[in-house]
Amino acid sequence: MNEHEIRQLVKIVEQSNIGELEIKRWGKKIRISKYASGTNVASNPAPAAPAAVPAPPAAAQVQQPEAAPAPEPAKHSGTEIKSPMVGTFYRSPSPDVDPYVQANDVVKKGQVLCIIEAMKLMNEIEAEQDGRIVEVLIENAQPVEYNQPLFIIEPA
Amino acid sequence: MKDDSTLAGQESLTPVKPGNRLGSTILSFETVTSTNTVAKDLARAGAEEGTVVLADRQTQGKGRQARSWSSPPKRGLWFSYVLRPQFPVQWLGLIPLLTASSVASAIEDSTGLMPNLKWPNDVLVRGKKVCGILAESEFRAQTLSFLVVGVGLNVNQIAGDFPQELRQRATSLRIEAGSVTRREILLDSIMAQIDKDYRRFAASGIEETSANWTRRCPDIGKMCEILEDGKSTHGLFESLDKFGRLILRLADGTLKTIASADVNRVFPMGSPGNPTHGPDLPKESYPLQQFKTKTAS
Repeated sequence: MNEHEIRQLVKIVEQSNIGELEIKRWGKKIRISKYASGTNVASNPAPAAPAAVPAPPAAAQVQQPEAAPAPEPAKHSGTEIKSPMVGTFYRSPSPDVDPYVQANDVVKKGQVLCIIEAMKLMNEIEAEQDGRIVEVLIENAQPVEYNQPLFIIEPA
Repeated sequence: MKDDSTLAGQESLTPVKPGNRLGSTILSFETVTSTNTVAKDLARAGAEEGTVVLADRQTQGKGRQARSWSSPPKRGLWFSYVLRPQFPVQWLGLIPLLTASSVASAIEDSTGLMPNLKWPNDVLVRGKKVCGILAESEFRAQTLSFLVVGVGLNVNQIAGDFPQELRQRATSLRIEAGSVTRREILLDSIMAQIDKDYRRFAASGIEETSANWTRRCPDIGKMCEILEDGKSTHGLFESLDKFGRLILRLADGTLKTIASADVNRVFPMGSPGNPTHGPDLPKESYPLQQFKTKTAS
């Protein structure tokens, strides 16, 4: 399901009397909810904001677990790893080698996750703790701002 | 340490220099893979701020994105130093600019040459690169563990020491000044300048650093080609922002900030193409003078 379809679904939920909509397709599950996290039926720690928020609706209100086993509720207890400075985000040490990490990789404390280059200063960003990379939020070679989230990591 | 095999038996320790934090400990090696690699290993093991790693020869001298750096034995100064700054980490990106500016000042004092700077941290003499700087840091999430700054300065090479493909772009102090420079005296002068400028930066912030850097950069206000990840963009090099990023004014008048790229001056047709030799062309020669002023959102 692409972002456009998700946005359309969010719109449908917003404009209807439906409180919560869950769709399963090809082993993936999408749930759109108008409830705040406290009243959410599922035990999902990520806040499901009230539906009226306009800016990036898909990201704010939709949880899309990656290939989660069907009965499990989405588990996004991840923490963000943020950029310590302005710069350019690199997923690998040079253009012709594999990325340091991919989504779903298990990482160890101290393992290098990416490089932020700023004015030829190469900053290696290491994991603070053992865990699993839930999501890589920035594409390779894209500019990042100070404090911009780079990864979501689920602590082990 | 990763480089045990290359370091064994080659280490010699020079006496501690009082009152000068940079270079208070100098670890001098005959051969290392790269001084940055050794300095990073030492920093991980707890080396204090100001520790310098100096080598006569690097077997794997490196530049940006794993590019190699030619470093023949005893002809240049190849050294790296450890910093553990106390100021907020978002200002770290200015360290490469600060270092380039310090090295340029020390070269000027020692040789009388007038080096220019190319964004962000190349030191050029008559348009050719004489010094490259590669800074590397390690962070645990948002907390800085340490910073290592590597300096590769071509001192006493002759033209034949450079590979053929580099001779148009690289030079040494000896080639430009016409005389040999004593490396240990130059190193002392560079370390003293870096130490002084770094302390001032840490104490008083970015303005002086930015002004000193800008004064030596002939590309500001000129048309440049920016190569980012293989993509080419042309624009007017407007200024530096407070983090040391390059602010480029594009043809539609919008501003773009750039943190990592290779920058090359674009010369109008028929110009001599050398920023230090050719006469400065009138501004009207640059096609982007009809820019509208508009700031990108």
